[in-house]
Amino acid sequence: MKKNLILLCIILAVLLNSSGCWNQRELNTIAIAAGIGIDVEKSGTHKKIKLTAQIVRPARLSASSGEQKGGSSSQVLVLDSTGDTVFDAVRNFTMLSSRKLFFPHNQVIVIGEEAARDGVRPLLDFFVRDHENRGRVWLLVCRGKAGDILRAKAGQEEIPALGIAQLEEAGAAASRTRPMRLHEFVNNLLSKTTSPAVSNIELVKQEDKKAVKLSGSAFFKDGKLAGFLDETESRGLLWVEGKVKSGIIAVSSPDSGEKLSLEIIRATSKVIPHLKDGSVSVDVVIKEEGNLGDEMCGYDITSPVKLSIIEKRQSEVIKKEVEAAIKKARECKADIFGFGEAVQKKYPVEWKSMERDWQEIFPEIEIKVAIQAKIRRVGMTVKPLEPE
Amino acid sequence: MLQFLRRKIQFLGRKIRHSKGVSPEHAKEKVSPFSGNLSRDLEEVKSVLGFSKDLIIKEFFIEARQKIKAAILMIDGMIDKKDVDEQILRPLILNPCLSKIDERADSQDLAAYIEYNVLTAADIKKTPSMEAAVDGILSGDTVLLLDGFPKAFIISTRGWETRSISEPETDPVVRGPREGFVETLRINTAMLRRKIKDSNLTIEQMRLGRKTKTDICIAYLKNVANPELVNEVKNRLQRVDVDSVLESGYLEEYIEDSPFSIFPTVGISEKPDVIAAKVLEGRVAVMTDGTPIVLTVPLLFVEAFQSADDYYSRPYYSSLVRLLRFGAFLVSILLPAIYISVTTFHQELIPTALLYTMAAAREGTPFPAFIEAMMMGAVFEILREASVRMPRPTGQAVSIVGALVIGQSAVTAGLIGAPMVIIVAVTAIASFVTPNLLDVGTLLRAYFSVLSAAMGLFGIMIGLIGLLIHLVTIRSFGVPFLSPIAPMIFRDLKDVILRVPMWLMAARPRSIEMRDSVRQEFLLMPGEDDEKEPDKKRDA
Repeated sequence: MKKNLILLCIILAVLLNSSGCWNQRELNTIAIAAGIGIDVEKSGTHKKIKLTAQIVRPARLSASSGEQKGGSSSQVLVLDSTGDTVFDAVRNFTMLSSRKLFFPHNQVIVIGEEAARDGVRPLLDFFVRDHENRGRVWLLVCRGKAGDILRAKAGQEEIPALGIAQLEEAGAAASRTRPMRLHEFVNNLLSKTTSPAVSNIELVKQEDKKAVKLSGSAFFKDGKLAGFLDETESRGLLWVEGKVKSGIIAVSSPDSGEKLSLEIIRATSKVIPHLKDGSVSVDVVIKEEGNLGDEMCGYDITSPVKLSIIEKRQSEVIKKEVEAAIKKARECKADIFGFGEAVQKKYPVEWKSMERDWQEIFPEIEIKVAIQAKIRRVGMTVKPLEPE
Repeated sequence: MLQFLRRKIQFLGRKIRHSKGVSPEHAKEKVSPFSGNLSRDLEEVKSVLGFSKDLIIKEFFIEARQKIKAAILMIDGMIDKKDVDEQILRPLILNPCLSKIDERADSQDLAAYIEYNVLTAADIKKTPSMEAAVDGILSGDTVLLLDGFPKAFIISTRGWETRSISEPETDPVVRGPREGFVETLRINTAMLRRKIKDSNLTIEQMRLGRKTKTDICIAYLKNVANPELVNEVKNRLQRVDVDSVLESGYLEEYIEDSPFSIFPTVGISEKPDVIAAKVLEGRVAVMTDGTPIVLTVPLLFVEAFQSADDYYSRPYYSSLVRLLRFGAFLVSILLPAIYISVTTFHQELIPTALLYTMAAAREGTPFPAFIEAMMMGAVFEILREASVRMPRPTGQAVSIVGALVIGQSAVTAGLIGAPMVIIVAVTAIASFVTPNLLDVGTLLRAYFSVLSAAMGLFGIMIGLIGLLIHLVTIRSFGVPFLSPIAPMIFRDLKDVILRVPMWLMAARPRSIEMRDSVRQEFLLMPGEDDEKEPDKKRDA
């Protein structure tokens, strides 16, 4: 008994002390990464990974509340580091940053166009494998260098990477880009047939300073950047995926050709694949509900018949958007919609023979798009702002 | 492990006792009985009392047919002089009837006559033992000795300056009685009786403390309390053969079940209504002379979260407040630990925006979070101790210095991060919500802080499991400390997390074993009476 007790005490003492400071780090010894940019640097045949990290400077944050902001000094520190591999580049940050990079609060990963065209699978492995990284981080592609994006302003956020993340979330209100989180992207990347799309971000000028703007999407084929979707095509993709949360549909009035806008309230989609005599066809059924947001044309909406004309036009606009996306996908032979997976789920046996040739089959399949669009409410006024 | 310690200490105690050859009972000084010779007895008493100057001896003659010498003995300041004057001296010296007693009547008859016909005091005892008489003198009684009569009259004339009944400084209430117990046992028992005018309320008395001879009262409801519990309390109290009992805390440590536990297993209160409520629930109260603090057993863990106010205010808010108290206790023991582990191990758990703010506050502070927490915790404890010990006016100065200098300046000087000051302040306020667990909370806070600094949330989890294991092993007079939560007694939960309306609390808590668990009729819910009730009212 006494022996056991002493032994227990010793074990406890040793355990408490030796386990001691495992992975212990104070808040002021870590560099909180807010955004990471990935580029490649090529010199001849030699390829190096260049990472750009946007690091939060808490000291500046605290100063901003009381004292003056100190002019040009930014609240973030943007550092570049190169290495043979991603992890190597990450470790090389320790040579120029006094603190160790801390990833769990990373908001965005921006991949430069060149790096993306070379293939993202090797680049993202670190972000999936390392325990500090989160799947919730937003993934974006930019035309040009990712490092430039992270050095630009984004929205009104003090920390640009936070701003980019906010843009991605706010993007749902327009549904003109495909926001994509890392975990979802990686899931799609593992599929043999689906070509995932992510938001595309680009530089614009705002108040004489470089700022960022989301514009359309970029899609990958076989882990490599294959092309860009413009805003209409992006929304077409979102319609099919049923991911449209909100947005404005502008339709022209039958009377004058002036525009009315309809706000999307909710939208759902169904993808139903069919297999007949060895040929695949896909039915896409999209149900949409919208409210009348404004009308700039003095169109009389008090009559149900006239309102149903608008509904029909609304359907047409949606259909056009969807068809634009389908056209682009067919051109690039990229199954951005994940039709392949739908077929696989419904016809798992037949799929096996199709899987390898899906890239060739996909552009040929028949896609029927059916839209059921409705207008629910017309707002607080009924008649247009015109004297009777 | 504590069991082991306990056995070790008991073993050591026995060893010491054997080696010294001292029996547990000290050899008592032999005091001879009264001889009947007044002057010799007086000398004897004086010498027993060590010729103390506060002993008053008044010798006089009783005008019987033949003059009899008599004396009264008392301690100055412990007697009511008016009582002595009116109930003893005046009747004995001025009573004309005494002279009519037959000459042949011996001292026995005279003594009986004096006891029954002359003395007007209500409480008179006769004893041949000088020891008992001396005890009486020392407790404030007056002892009457007659020459030629080998017994002493012990006449109760106790009366000394006491504090008047006032509002207790501990557990104040918003609604409810304001009175609190005082230092005099008799007043306290009377206050309890005034709350429970039931013939079953039994108050037993015993004396503890070889030197202090403190009166102890055990109060319980005869038809409700479990007789085994009452016996157990009495047995444990009788075991307490100590020098002094100056406060109920002395007793508490001798009768509690888990002497090594940081949790108290004996309840305390200085409010008669609280004690009455506990007695009515089948508990036993132990009242100690000389202190307003009354003990109750058994004590359940949940009692720390119940306040008298809960039962006097309406149930909804009371239930909410009770939930808050549980939450506040958890906050008071865990918050600094969680802060330490989150900021030093699990930064990923903090929401991003909050992390930036916290990182900004931590920027430039020289100490690790754990050291900060320990320093601020220590400063807070010192402040609390200082403000308790200081005289009231100085206490204010202490709190100003504490709040301004330590709170504000430490942050502006960059010694301590602002979040830590907030954490310590919140913790401190939360700990005051459960005053009975204040000391336990302080110890647990340090315990969890150390664990979290070593192992993060993992350490806190280990600590919580350890705490739980400890809590379920404690008992208080046979009742599991955590009941009615573990073991789960579903019917008792009516007064644990929620406080259900009074008319739903028809049964006494089952956690405490008792004879009679029915408190009142079921269905006394206010509202329409379906049966005879209205008739009764009309009749009245």
